[in-house]
Amino acid sequence: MAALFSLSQWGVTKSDAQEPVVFAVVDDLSGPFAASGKRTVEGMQMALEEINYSLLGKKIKLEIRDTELKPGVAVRRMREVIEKEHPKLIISSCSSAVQLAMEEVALDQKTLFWTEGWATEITGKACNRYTFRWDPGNFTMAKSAVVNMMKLVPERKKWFTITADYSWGYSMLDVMVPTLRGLGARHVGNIYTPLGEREFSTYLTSAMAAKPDVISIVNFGEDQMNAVKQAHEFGAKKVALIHTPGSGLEMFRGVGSEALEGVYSGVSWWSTVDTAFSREFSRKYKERFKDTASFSVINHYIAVKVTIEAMKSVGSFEPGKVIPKLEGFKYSGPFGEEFIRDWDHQCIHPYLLTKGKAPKDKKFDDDYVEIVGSGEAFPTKEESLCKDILRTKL
Amino acid sequence: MTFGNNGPFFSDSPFWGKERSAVFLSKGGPLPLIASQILNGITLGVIYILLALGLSIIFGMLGIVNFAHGAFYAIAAYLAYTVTLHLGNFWVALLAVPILMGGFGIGIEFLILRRMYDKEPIYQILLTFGIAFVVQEIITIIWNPMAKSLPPQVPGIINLGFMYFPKYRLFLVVLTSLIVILVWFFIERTKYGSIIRAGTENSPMVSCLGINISNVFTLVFGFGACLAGLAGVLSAPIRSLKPYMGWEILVTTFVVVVIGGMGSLSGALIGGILIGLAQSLTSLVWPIGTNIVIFILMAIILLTRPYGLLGRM
Repeated sequence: MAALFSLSQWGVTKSDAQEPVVFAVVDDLSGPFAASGKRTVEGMQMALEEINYSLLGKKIKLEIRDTELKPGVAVRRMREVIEKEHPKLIISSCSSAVQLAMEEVALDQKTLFWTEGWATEITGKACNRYTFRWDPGNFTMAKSAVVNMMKLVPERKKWFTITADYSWGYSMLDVMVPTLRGLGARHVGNIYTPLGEREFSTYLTSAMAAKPDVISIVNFGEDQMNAVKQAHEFGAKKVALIHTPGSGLEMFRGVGSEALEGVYSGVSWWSTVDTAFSREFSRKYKERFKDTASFSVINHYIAVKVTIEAMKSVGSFEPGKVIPKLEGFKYSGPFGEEFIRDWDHQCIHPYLLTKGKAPKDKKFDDDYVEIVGSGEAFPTKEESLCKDILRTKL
Repeated sequence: MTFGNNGPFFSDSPFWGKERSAVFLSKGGPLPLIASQILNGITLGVIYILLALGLSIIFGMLGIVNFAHGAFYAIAAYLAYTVTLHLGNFWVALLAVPILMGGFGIGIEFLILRRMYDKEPIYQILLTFGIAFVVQEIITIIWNPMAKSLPPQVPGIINLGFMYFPKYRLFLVVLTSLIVILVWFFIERTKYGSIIRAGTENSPMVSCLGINISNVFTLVFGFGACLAGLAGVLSAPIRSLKPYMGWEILVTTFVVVVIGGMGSLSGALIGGILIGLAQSLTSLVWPIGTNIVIFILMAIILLTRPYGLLGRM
């Protein structure tokens, strides 16, 4: 009996030592948004390569699952990978609807989950103790984009908005307009444009007719690219400053430098952020993937890196130990000293305002913008709908 | 009243809810804005015309609904992007890419499509659908799915008094009008054109008259692809390029063809301008309706004239 007991014990230890610990990426890897999933994987790979895929004496194995951009599939794949592989960390990007669904699975399955989803609810109404986020979310994007711009050009008080006609656009205006008014600016008009619009000439002509100081294009992705491109084409820059609250490398590429010159954009991170962390990351990424680093990679890189640090510090992979460590954790991040708020699991760091460079001033192909402003405006505890997550038992 | 789903942040600010279709008029009243919209609508319309012409000729003559037409447009835009970037010259692309696309179309008709003429329409639809997907994936592999942008060609704007209008768009309207006139002249006034017209009406009869109809089919398909290519190149400087851009424009092009009458050339002209104007004028008063209005228009026309404006039984 004793022999049997010791044998089984030996068996357990052996399999424990050989069995790698799994980190997983559950993301959109096929279809039109495959590029975003690819960057999630790259961020994970970079962080794991730094520790040589080994942590606390164990091998780390990377498991990847495709969500096919459907919340149903995402939830199924996430449950499947949790049941089979028991991952100690799952990361994901893609749409907010998918992220919100996955967030629930993380809570239900007691699995540590880092998300890139922009909905305010992710660390707001729907927040939970297993979910963390580095990207600032829509509230911060909308508010910072206005505050940073008004700090830079306080005399430009008449704002016109061209807004995407769906929930994201409404929630952006819900924050932007009161912020503008609070700063003594005027919202002189808005036009809602259908999602997937390719032709913005009408809206731009109408906006220009209102003679505003700033035309803010509250659109994302391809809609934004076409709107900014056409704003340049139709001479809107001669009438007003062109502004977008949220943008990034892919959209800059889609707009091109000629049209982007002089355009103000809110961005979460840019490869020329002057901190040791960001410089090092940009250099390493270029070396490893032969491309310019973008927000959508560093977002996941930092998530994995911070998790690894926390795991090292508590000497365990178990969410029960790692999560309390992450709550309130101060770490060195892309913007220098950053921290994770314990009561909503939101990472706190600045949001940037950039201005498009003239094509002749660019030092390299992707040198689209210079950073002209920065500041942070996260929802306060009173504003946030995230309540009592610390009460959840791990 | 609260917009969005993000909780209570400033939900006491419903004021812009009333402005959903806000139009801000300049001092001169609504006329300048309407005039500028008519101009914008024509610019949209001429691109639709180029695409619809090809689609319509191919349908009329070959009896094939070419679902790959949008893909031809997309790959031409990407080729224009690469040629312009490497040679630094858009005009070479404008000349070379449509010719290349013509050759591509001829190749596809000769190698694959002609085997489908005697099959049921479903096979032809599946085939052209398949070609469209293959082309889209090829674009993704060669150029990656990230959006691309071609800088505006013919930079600068013209002050028309009531509005600023980009020079490039003016150029686009003039060039396309010239091309459309040439195509019309070719089809209506030349011998080859009469063969195409006859083939559109009754291709077995043309065959009986001793004309090698299968060569004509090949050339017609190539010609359609060439026009789609031209539309792609011309659109490249004013749109961001994405692998699936072909699908988006294909839907509108179908509407244009259906409204004008399947197989009717003048129908394609009228349909293109009508849809372009409908979209741009609707966006003035009802932005969200721009994508709906074309289908409403199509429904009305189909109810009153089932074969389209200029279509025949």
